[in-house]
Amino acid sequence: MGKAKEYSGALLPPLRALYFLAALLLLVVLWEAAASLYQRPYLPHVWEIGERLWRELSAGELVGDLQLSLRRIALSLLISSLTGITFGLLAARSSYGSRLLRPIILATYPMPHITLIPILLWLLGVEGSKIAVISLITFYPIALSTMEWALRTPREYEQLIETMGGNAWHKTVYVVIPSILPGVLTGLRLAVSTAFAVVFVAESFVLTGGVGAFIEESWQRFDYAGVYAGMIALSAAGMISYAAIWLLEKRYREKIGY
Amino acid sequence: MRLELREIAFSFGDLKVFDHLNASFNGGNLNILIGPNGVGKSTLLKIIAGILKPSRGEVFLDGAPPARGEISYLPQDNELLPWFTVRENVELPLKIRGISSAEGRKRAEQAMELTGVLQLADRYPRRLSGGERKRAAIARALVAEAKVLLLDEPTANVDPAGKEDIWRLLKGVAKERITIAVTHDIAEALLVGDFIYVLSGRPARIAEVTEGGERAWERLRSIVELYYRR
Repeated sequence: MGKAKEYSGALLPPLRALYFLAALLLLVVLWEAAASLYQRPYLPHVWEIGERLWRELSAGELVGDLQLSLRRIALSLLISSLTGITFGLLAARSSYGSRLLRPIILATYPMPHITLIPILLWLLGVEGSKIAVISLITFYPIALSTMEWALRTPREYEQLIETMGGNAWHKTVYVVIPSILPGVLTGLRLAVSTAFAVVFVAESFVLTGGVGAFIEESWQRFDYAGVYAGMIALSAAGMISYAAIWLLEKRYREKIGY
Repeated sequence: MRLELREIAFSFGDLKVFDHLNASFNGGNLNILIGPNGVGKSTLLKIIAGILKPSRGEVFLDGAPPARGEISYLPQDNELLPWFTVRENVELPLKIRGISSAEGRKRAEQAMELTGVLQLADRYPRRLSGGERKRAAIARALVAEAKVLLLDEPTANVDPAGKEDIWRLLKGVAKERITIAVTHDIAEALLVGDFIYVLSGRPARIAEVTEGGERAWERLRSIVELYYRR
């Protein structure tokens, strides 16, 4: 490869961790200012939310719900990754795939998939519908990113494998998969954030545990500190997952300069 | 060892790049292919490598069409896969042929030793200079035991010391195979080439073949004229 471009990530470089903490602190201060100023039940004080979060996490109820939500997200992401990578690759690299799959993926991408929950519930049952809707929504960022990157794979790398006597399998293993990996990781990173947002909707539709159900039940009891405790637990887990994938992606891209 | 191009024709759309192109290259020499920009030097290498298919004509290696893996081609850029280390890149042709990893490792190390990149074996290509990348790619061609080595601008983006290293290495490597290197630098070609092939005209043909050394410099003026003839 010629002169490699430096990949500059958009979020969380180590030196900016301090700014990140400062931003969080600012958010807390603003929240507390609003809570003190307006004195509304739906705007509890920061320490009330903190105390509630601590109690829920140590008592174990929220921990169990968080584990359940994480299991659902992990399973859904596994399904969306496998299908997203496969469909993205087929849409980019097979002539029938590009003619048939690409328009289907692009046409169904902006659809409000969340509205399919009642149908999925009927088709796949309670648990199945939750997994299906998260998988369906997170499928798109992975499939589209895989497709974009697979279309960009330099032809010269594949020609190199051809001149070494390699076949389609060798090209897939030694060129296509390593070349789309940064794109797959970008798609997965976006999918993870989406999954954490969607899991609430999926879990609050029929309440069978999970942080989404925890939040919904708290809403129904007008337990606002509980609502925010659940939201914080979910978003913290989402942020950690996002950062972990981002780091992996950054490392790989820095290593290969691609 | 002899590589022959017989009656090669090739077009990009309406543009006839080659028509009735004939040439032969012998093993044991460093053959340099020169010609003005856009004449078709890289295209000709790609045709020999089997990457581009000519609309007519054939390439023969010792009287028969070359088999896959017999020709090693080094593009100007992207000569190494960026996601593999130097060692992994060099071992790749052997992996493709299903040669055991222990044997592959041994042969790769010998080749890297010869081309002076053994100490860089665990580096990724982006951490190499232009010259180091070329030498690593040459090591891969040696491991593949290709009968023909094709190099597109092997000294582009390489500093002067690196250029000398590469040409010295190629002089040695060329003794045991058919080597064709493309360059647009006439002086460099005359300085290092055993035989200089001048590609000129539209459709392009091999307009002159000159033996390297002192005599080549006497032909400099006519070579320069060929550059600008259309």
